[in-house]
Amino acid sequence: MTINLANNAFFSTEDFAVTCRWTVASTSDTYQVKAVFDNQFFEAFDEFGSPVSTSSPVVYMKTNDLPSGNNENDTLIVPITSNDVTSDTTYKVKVIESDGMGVTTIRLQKQ
Amino acid sequence: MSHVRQQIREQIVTLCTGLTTTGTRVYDTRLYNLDPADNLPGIVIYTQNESSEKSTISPSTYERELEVIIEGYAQANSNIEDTLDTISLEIENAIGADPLINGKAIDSELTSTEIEFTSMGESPIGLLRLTYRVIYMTLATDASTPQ
Repeated sequence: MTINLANNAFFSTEDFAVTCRWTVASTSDTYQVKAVFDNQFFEAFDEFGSPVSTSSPVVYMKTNDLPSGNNENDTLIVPITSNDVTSDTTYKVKVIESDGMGVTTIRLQKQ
Repeated sequence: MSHVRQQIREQIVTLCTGLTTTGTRVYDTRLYNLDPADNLPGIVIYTQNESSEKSTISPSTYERELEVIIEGYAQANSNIEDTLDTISLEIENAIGADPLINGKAIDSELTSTEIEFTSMGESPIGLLRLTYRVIYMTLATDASTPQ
């Protein structure tokens, strides 16, 4: 069996990625981008009296696929499938973290 | 009868219940996680350290200094510090209007205010931590009746 280890393999919509709509705030231009969405459980203030349960939404995408003019406060609409139902969820881009190896992590804020 | 420390904590819960921003989302010593959808904006109240020393020998009485922690939590995409300051205002006014905690304490004072934020969740969450020093007295033989 051949294993595809190219970066493209992880960002195929036939595998882990979904097609999101990215609107650049400064120009209002909208782009379709392929990204892997994740929304892991996150416990805030676990060192204080009562932790707060929430989640930590991020998308991972190829750095080369970032839209031109991308910046904080751009809008990202992510199709999320839960119980076989897909619906769009709107996020604001808050932190753009390039790993320097061709992949960028984008931390999101739910709207 | 319950310990005066418990009576003070419960009275502060009563004082902080029904405030404009946090309403009935007031939790007495909540040990488990808060759910933003159900519990925020909200308040958690608990007691922490208490020091005590003999005040009189006959009858034997203790003067105690109790730390009461009042934590306000809020989640919002904007103006979260304003919300925390509003929660602080409402709590301080409520306790300031009854500094003797319904006659159970000799005095109370706000000794510190801390504010923390995190942006790691799906929306920013803020935490306000007010520490009150509550001074009260009991007989050595009866910790359930304030003196």
